[in-house]
Amino acid sequence: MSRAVLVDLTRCIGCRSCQVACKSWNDNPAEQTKCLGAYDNPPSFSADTWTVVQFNEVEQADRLQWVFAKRQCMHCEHPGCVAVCTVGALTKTPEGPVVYEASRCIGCRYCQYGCPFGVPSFEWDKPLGLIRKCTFCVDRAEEGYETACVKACPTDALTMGTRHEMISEAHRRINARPHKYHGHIYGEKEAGGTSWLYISPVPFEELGFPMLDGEPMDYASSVIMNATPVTLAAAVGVLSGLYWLTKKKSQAAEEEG
Amino acid sequence: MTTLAMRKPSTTGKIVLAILALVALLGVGTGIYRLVVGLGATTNLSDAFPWGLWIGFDFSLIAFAGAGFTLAAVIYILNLEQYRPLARASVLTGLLGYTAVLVILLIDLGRPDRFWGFVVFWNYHSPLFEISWCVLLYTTVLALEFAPMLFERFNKPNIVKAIHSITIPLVIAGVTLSTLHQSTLGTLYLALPNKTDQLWWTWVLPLLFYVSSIGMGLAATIFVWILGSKAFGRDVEVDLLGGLAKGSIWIWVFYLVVRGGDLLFTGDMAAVFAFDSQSIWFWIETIIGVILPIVLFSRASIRASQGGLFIVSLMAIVGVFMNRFNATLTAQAVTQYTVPAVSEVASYSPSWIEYSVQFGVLAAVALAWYFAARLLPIFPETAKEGH
Ligand code: SF4
Ligand code: SF4
Ligand code: SF4
Repeated sequence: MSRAVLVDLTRCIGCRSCQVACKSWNDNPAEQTKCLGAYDNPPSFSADTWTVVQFNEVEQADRLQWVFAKRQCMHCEHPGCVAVCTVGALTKTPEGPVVYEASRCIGCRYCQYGCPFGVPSFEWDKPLGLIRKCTFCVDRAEEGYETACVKACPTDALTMGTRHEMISEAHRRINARPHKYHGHIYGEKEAGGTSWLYISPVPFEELGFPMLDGEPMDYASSVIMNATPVTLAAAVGVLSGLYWLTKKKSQAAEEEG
Repeated sequence: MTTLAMRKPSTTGKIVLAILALVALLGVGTGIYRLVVGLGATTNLSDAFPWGLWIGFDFSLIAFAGAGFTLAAVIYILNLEQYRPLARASVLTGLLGYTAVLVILLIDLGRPDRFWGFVVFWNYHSPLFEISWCVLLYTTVLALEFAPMLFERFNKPNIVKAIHSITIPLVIAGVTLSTLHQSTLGTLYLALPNKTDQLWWTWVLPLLFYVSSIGMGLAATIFVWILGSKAFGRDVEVDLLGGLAKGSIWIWVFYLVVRGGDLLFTGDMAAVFAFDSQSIWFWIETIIGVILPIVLFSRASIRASQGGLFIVSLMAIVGVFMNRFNATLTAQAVTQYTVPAVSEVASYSPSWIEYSVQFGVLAAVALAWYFAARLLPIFPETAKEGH
C-alpha cells in the first residue's frame, strides 16, 4: 500500500518548521529573499527550496483570515512529469514517492511543463544544470522514518499513513466537524489522484490550487503515443502502396507514349 | 573533379556573405559562453518559462526542414518526375535545417554532455523521446540522401550507384520518420492539457502539425530555391515552383477545414472571437499563414511571378513559425505556484545572447547552404544526373 500524507489546513499555523526541516535534512542552502508585500518567503519553489508554506489571505464570513498551505511535490498517482520525461529519469515507485534519477537526466526541462503543480525546478545558475524537487524523503523512509517535514510539524497538520488510511481519515475529520471544513479532499481525484492530500476550511480555488479533473495529465498524449506502431505501419503501407500505384501509372503512360 | 559552373559572388554578394559570417561568429562565441557559464546567466529562461526562443525556433525549423521529406515524397512516392531538379536542394535544406535544430537543442539542454541519453534510456511514453529518435534517424537518412552529391563531386561513381540503389527504401523510411515526429511535435502539447491554450490544445493537434509541416515544406522549397537561384544569378524555374504552390493550396485548405471543423466541433469558437491576446495571435497566424496563401496562390498570375511566389511562400513560412511559437510561448507558462497576494505574473522575453546564438546558427546554415550549392552539384546545371 502506498505511502501518503494528509495536510489539514485547519491545523496549520504557518510556523514554517517543515520548510526549515526540509532544508536542513536535504542540505539545501538558504535563499536570498526579498519582500514581496506578502509573508510568503520565498515565493515559490526553486532548486534549493522544495517546500514552501503559502500564506493565503482569504475572506471568510466577512472577515479576513489566514489559510496557510504547505506545498511540495504531490507525488501523483499518474505523474505528468514521469509520463513526459525524455529519458525516464523520473519514476513512480509502488511505495508512493516519485523519484528522480539525476544520473539519467539530460536537462531538457519537459518535466517542468508536464507537472501540473509547477514542482520540478531547474538549477539555472549551474553550467551543467539538473532538476531538483521534493523526494518524499525516500532516504528516510528506507530507514523507517517519517519525512523530515512531517516529523517537524508541531500541530499535527501533517499526518502520514497509507493513501487509503489518509483518505478515510480525511473523511472522518470532515464528517466529525462539517462546519470547519470545505468538504473537498484535494488530491483524492485531481489529475488521477496524488499521494499528498489536502483538506481545507475554504475552497481550494481560493488558495490558488490548480483546478484539475480526474484525468491523468498524459491521458490524451498517451492514447496517441500508444498508437505509434499503428502510425508507423500505416505510413509505410500507404507510402509503399502509393509508390507502387504511381510507378505503374507512369510505366503504363510510357508504354503508351 | 567535375568543374562546376556556379557564379562567383558579386560585391553585394560578398558583403552579404561577410555579414552572415560575422553573425555566425558572434553566435559561436556566445554559444560557447553559454556552455561555460550556464543557462541562468545567459538566458531569460526561468522555472516559469523553462522553454523560450530556442525551442520555438527548433520546432519551427523542424517544420521548415520538412522541405526534405515533402519533396522526396512528391518526386519518388507520387512519381512526379518533373520536380526532380528540386530534389537535391531540398535534401540540402532538410539536412542543414535538422543540423541547426540539433545544435540549438544541444545548447539548450541542461546537460549537453548527456545529449545521447535518449539512445540508452528509454521512455517510449514520452513524445520528446520519440521525437529525439526520429530526428536522429531522419538526419541519418538525410545525410545518406545527401552523400551522392559529395561522392559525385569527388568522382566516386560506385558509391553514388550503391546509394542510388536504395533510394526508394531510404525515401520511404525518411517520409515515415517525418510523419512520426512532425505529428508527435503536436502530441508533445497534448501532454500539457492545463497549460496549452484551448485555441491550440486539441486532439487533432498532431494531425495539424503534420499537415502544416507539409505546407511549410513546400513553401520552404519555393523560398530557398528562389533565394539560392538569386545568389548565383540563375533563372528561376517559375513554372516548376508554381506547380508546388498550386499543390500547397490543397494542403492549406485541408488544414483550414480540420482546424475550423475542430474549433466548431469542440465549441471553442467563443475563444476564437474573444479578441484577447490569444485569439488575436490565432487570427494573425491563420490569416497570414493559411488563408492568404490559399487566396493568393489560387491566382495564376501570382504563381507565374517570381516575386509573388517568394512573398506568398514567405507568408506561409511566417505563419507556421507563429503557430509553433504560439503553441510554445504565447499559450504556455508553467503554472508555478506564485504568491497569490502579490499575484506576480511571470513574463519572458529572450536575452540578447539567446538571439545571438539563434541568429548565429541560422547565419551559419545559410552560409553552409551557399557554399554547398557553389561547390557541389546541387543545381540541375551542375548535377551529372537528375537524382
Ligand atoms: S507534483 Fe509534479 S513533480 Fe510531483 S509527481 Fe506530480 S507531476 Fe511529478
Ligand atoms: S529535465 Fe531531466 S527529468 Fe526533466 S524531463 Fe528532461 S530529462 Fe527528464
Ligand atoms: S517530504 Fe522531505 S523532501 Fe519533501 S517537502 Fe517534506 S522534508 Fe522536504
